[in-house]
Amino acid sequence: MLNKEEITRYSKQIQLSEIKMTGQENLKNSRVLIIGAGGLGCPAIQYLAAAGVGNIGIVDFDKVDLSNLQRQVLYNTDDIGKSKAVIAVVKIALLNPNVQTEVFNERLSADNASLIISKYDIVMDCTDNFATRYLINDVCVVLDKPFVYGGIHTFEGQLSVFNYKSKEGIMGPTYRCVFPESSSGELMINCSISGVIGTLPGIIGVMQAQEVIKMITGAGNVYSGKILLYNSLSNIFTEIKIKRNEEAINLLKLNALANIITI
Amino acid sequence: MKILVFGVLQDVVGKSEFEMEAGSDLDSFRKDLLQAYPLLKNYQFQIAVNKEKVESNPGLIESDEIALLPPYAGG
Repeated sequence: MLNKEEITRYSKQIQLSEIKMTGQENLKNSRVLIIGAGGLGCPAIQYLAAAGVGNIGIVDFDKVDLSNLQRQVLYNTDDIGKSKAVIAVVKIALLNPNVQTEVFNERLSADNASLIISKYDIVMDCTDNFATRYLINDVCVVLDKPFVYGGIHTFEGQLSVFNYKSKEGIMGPTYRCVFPESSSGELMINCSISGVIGTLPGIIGVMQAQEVIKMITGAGNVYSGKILLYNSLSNIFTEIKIKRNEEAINLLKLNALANIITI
Repeated sequence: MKILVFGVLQDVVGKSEFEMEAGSDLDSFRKDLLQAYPLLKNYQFQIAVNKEKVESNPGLIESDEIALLPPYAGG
């Protein structure tokens, strides 16, 4: 149940026939984990907290750096040197005290990923490296969690919702169904190496937040079974259809099971 | 055939789109592509035909559109 303050706070959303009171209550009862409080994570955190997602977990081991501020707009100049995850929950509390938060001021690893991810319903991949993206994918597949993927490169962004079970009960593709191999060497490019325009993670991070809101409230169609490529220089959106590779996914689950048995 | 190039691959190819002859099928196109741009061998990317990612080796015709899709690490 929402209290009077919440009903006023979210009135513009509750007015929407796709959300209504039920959708807003679903948002309040939801648990969303944001992995990476950087360029993609900052706008996602702000909009999901503002929208009334009841429980938000933030995973980030990093500290705010001067060169982050051009795109990580949640942080101020006097936050430099402070923990991103800690500062992020302070900002959430200022924006919307109704949100319960949990800080994971650590690097997501094979050791802690299952424990952290298992506590949440929806995961957001807002990370900046391939190793963590594959880790999130694999743990979400094994734990049957949907995750919203965002990726950026200079002026371009990618978006998709992976491992999502549709209203009809059909499972959508995963990150490995699109990009099967782990990348290495020359491919390990992130913003700190390649550069990025500040508005781009803002756009993609907000689109990720929108997919989370749609999943929770049931509004519209969740962006599963396709990957969106956005070019911010031309403003062209390209949509590529993708399929779930059931064979590879079953193999991944079997391997995970074998690891548990071995331990 | 129109080839759309995304992400870091644009730096390798030097443009965001170009034309290439279709050849007979996707495998032969891949060979021609790597011959024309040998540095692409160093990058992982997927191929979509007519806006759909393909796993098999479909035949290609001149009116088909190819997209070269690298993963984006940044966030």
